[in-house]
Amino acid sequence: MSIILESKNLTKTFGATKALDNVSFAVERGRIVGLLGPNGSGKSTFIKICNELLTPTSGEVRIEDLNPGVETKRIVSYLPEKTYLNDWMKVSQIVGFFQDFYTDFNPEKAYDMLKRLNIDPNSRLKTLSKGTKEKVQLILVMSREARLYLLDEPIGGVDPAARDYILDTIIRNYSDDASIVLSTHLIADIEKILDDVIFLKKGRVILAKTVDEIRDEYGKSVDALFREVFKC
Amino acid sequence: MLRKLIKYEVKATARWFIPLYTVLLVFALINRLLFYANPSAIEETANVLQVARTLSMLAYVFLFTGIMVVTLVVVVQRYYKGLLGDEGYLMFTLPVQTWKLIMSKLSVAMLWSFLSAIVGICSIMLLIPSPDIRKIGMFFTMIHDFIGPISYFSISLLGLSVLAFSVIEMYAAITLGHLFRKHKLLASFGMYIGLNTLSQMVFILVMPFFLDTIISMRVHSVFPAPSRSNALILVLGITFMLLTATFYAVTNILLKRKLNLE
Repeated sequence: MSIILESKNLTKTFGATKALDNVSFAVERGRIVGLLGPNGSGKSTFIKICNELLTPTSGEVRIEDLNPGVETKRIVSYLPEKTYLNDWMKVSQIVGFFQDFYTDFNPEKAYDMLKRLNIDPNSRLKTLSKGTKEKVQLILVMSREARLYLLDEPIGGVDPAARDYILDTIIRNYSDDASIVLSTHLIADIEKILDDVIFLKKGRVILAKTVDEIRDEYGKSVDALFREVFKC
Repeated sequence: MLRKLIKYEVKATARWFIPLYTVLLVFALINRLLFYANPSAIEETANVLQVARTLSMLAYVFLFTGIMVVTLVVVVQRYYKGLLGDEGYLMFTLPVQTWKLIMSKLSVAMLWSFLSAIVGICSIMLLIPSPDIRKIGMFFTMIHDFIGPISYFSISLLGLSVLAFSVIEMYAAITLGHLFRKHKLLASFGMYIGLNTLSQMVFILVMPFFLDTIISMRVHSVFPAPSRSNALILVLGITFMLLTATFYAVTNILLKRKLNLE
């Protein structure tokens, strides 16, 4: 299997704190990878470096053997942990915006999902609740036919009822050779869709295995293992 | 892609300016009408008219200064919030080169600054009673007589480069200030003062070549030969252009290599 995303000795420091410390791992094509760790373990930092929103202190990230840049942004669909929606557009206008800038964006898919989640395309982004904004962002991101999805806390602010639909959406909307890296600390909810897991602790990779390996070797679920490893 | 970026930037900003411009022009017109209104023989109506005149004039002045302030605030906010704030997560992950992002912000900021000035001038012309308009006409003829020999090219170049320079100077200062981990706003102000001083030093280096022209104008009140004034304006324009290009390059490199959205 070929590699779509590779992190090579990646280090990022903020002042005196090391957010990422010599992180190396690779993501293969067609896999759903969970980037798991408690708050402040470096998950978002890693994903932001992949999107050129942060500059690494040392080491590098390669996506399809390229450093993050215009070419990688064409094939990477990114869901940030923040809401980046401006306050002046309507939902339909931001859909148009994505259609304008991303050639792999499928508007029918977006409108279909908006309908399923009862979001009116004519409502202004300003008037939406925080949870609804997150749903709109996820819809935009998953309506792209990207090669790599980088999802930072995709279900964090969404109610449990919508979670299942969203996870289902994630699974249904990516093609077999696309990969997904998603960060979360809500492992129980997401465990069933993961192929591989990477545990991050204080900026270091402390475990990188397939879900099957974890079940075979430790005889427990990823959630149970996580609770054991990160016990306070 | 640049065209699309500019399209969205115009849409995002027009909702501020179009209503403001309209209201300003309407108030200029109201002032004019009130000015011409015939004070009634009855004292009370005359008083009411006087109050209305004062109020509408106050509203006009308030709007006029308001537009200038809003122009500055929007130019700064669209850059600071739109690229270095949360919206930056959207803009910097578009498959678009960084220089195009800066160019879209810069060109639209220049457009609105220019339009704000034009609308401001138009509103003043609306205010002025017709006999005085002829005097303004004479003023423009004077300008024409002055500029004519100098060439419109140099004057336009100078105008355009001053406009571009004043916007990009703020962008560069904000971007430099953003490199600091704390007190980014304060750092941006400091950087602005620094860049301004730096630019002035560049002009101090250029000026000695035109010392004779400046002295003859300021000390002896003698108008320099058109070719000489033209050269001065052209050199000033080019200097502003070069400074603009430098600040643009600095901003671009910092956003590409040192971006840290936290």
